[in-house]
Formats: sequence, structure tokens, C-alpha cells
Amino acid sequence: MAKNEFLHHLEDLMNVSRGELRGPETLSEMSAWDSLAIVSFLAFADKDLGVNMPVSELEKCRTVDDLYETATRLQQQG
Amino acid sequence: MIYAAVRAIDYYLPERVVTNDDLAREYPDWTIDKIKGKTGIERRHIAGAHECSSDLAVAAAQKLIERGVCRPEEIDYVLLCTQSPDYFLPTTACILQHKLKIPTRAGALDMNLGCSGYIYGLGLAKGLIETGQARQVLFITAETYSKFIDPADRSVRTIFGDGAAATLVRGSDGMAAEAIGPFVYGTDGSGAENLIVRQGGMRAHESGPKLYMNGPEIFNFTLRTVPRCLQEFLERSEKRVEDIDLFVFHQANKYMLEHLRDKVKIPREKFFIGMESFGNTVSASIPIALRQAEMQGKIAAGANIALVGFGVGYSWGATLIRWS
Repeated sequence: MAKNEFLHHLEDLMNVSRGELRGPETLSEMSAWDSLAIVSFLAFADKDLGVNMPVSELEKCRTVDDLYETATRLQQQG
Repeated sequence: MIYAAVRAIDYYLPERVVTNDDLAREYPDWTIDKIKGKTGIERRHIAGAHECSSDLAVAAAQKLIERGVCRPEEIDYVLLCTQSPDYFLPTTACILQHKLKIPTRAGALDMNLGCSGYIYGLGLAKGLIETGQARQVLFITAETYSKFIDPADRSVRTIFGDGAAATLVRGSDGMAAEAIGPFVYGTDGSGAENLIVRQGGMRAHESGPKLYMNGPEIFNFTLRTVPRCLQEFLERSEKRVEDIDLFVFHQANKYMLEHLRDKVKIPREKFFIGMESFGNTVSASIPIALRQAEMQGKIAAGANIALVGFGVGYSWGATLIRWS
């Protein structure tokens, strides 16, 4: 999935405005990255990327870019 | 051959209600729409300070008795599934026997399981009846998880509600085939830490029990386990999705259920979700949903209903009931 499309999905599930996310944002500094958003992200990764993302991998992600890179890597690993 | 069957279900919810509006006032960065959109829950019922699982259980059982479904003197086994018993001891089911005026010749047993508890309880009730140990089992699932929840923990407070359901499981020798079963069970204790109340037990006995839930781990467990459990259930029961009239999963949260339904490709009209008004009531969620579906006319006599429970433990199970 292209990064732009990924960001749009993330914006939707975090309930933030379109275009608000660029990539370098720090997840822990965003109030919208809460428990509901995290579970929504896991659902999105499962449904749209075919990735069951381990929580240990999710916890290593510091930024939005890290989320994208991790999801893409796991998707490529199949 | 005597076969066990689910004869009737009723439920009771405590009077006190916490709405999304109430929660949004306490947590200003969570809007009512966001809570509803992500959980599918609008309100949850919360037990009063002095209202315990046995109180909810008695109220649920009384509804069955008042409907004329059963008489206390006919009950020969009380099975209570709860993780929030009135006391460490005695067994809360013994208290229920007394409160409900069930004869002293009846057996009574507590079982400790969470969201998979309804499946396991039906398995035990079936075993008791079909081996001739009991004829009428009053199977009650009752939880007051709210007593474990830290008021500041908005993620679990949003999801869980208190409630109890009473199911009469009765044996009959006039049936052509079994009305409960087959069963699929599963357990993975490696997930114990992800949904746990440590305090109050013998290993960590500081005061003030507090529920901890690692939501992402629980969600991933569900995604891994439920599709596999359902597949195994369909194979064991020699059914296809088309042969099942209604699927009733543990009512964890609407978002998760919709995702699972989509993943395992169950048509929307065959998949019951009914937790809007009371949230996740743990082992009471499946029987409450069944009663709701019955009241909404979604279950016809003879319907094949697939039940799937999953959660704390980790523990999971599935079974088939024929509605009578």
C-alpha cells in the first residue's frame, strides 16, 4: 500500500483531519493514538494489509513512519 | 437416551446506568460518537456498591421462575459461572441454592471462566444431564467486573458492564438427536497476563482488586483464534455457514465483532450483535444476546445456533444449540 493511502487510513481510524499526518509524528505525543485507535490499527493491518501485527512490533514503533515501515515489512515477509 | 437442551433464558441488568455521555464528561478528549463508533456500546449497567453477583443471579433466575419455565423444587443442580463471586468461600452457587429455595438435595458448583464460560457451562450441564446425574440444571452466568475496574481506566470502563443470565438446561428422553453440541474447546495460558486481576488473590494480596487488560494483545488473540475455532467447529459439527441459522459470538465489542464477521465471512443477517445497551457482560453476554434475539423474533423453533466464546485465560470454545 502506498504511504499516502496508509496515512489516510490512519487519519480515519485516529479521527484526525485529512492531511494531518505526514510520517515523522511521534505516536506517544498524539492524544488520538489511544487504545481505541491502536485496536483499530490492528484491525486495519489485518483486513487491508493481511498482517497480524504482533504487539511487540507495534510497541517498537515510535513514529507514524515506523508504523508504515513495520507494516510494509511484515506484509512483504508474508 | 436422554438429551440435554436449552429450554429458556432470561437475564437481569442492574438499575444503575453509565452512558457514553457520562463517560465523555469525565474524559473530555473522548467524544460520545467516538466511544459509540469504536465499541458499539451506548450504555452499560453497573452494580450498586452492595449489589453482588449472587444478587444479579437471583434476579435473573427469578425471572425464569416467574415466567413459569421452572419451579425451584425441580432444580437438581445449580451451576454458576462467575469471576466476581460474593466471597472466596463459600461457593456462591450454595448461596444461590438457599436464596432461590432450591431443595437441599441439589448439587451446586461455581466455575471460574470469563468470556468463554457460557460454552463451558453448557458442556458441563450437558454432561451432568446426559450421564443421569441431574435432570434440570439451572446454569447462571453472573459478573460484576465493574468492581475490579479503576475509575480512571477509561478503556476498560467503556467496554464492560455488569449483568447476569439464567439458563434452564433440561433433559428429555423424547428427542431424536442431541440439542447441545458438539463442542470445541481451547486454552492458552500463555496469555494469562493480558487480562488479569492480580490483587486479592493469594499471589498478590495487596488490597483493591484492579482489572488490567492489554487490549491490543487481546484483539490479536481473537484474530488468531476465533477463525480457527469456528472452522474446527464447522468441521466437527459437519455444518457449513449456510446450515447455521444464527451465530452468536461473545459480545466483546461491536467493532471487534464486525471485524471478525467480515473475516470469517458470515452474512450480516445471520450474525447477532446486541450489546448497545449493556456492553460486554463477560460470560453473561452470549445468553443475554440469545434472549434478545429470541425477543426480537430472530430465533425460530428448531433453529441451529452457533455459539462462540473467547477471552480471558486465554480460553475459547464453540458449540451448537438447537432452539426448542
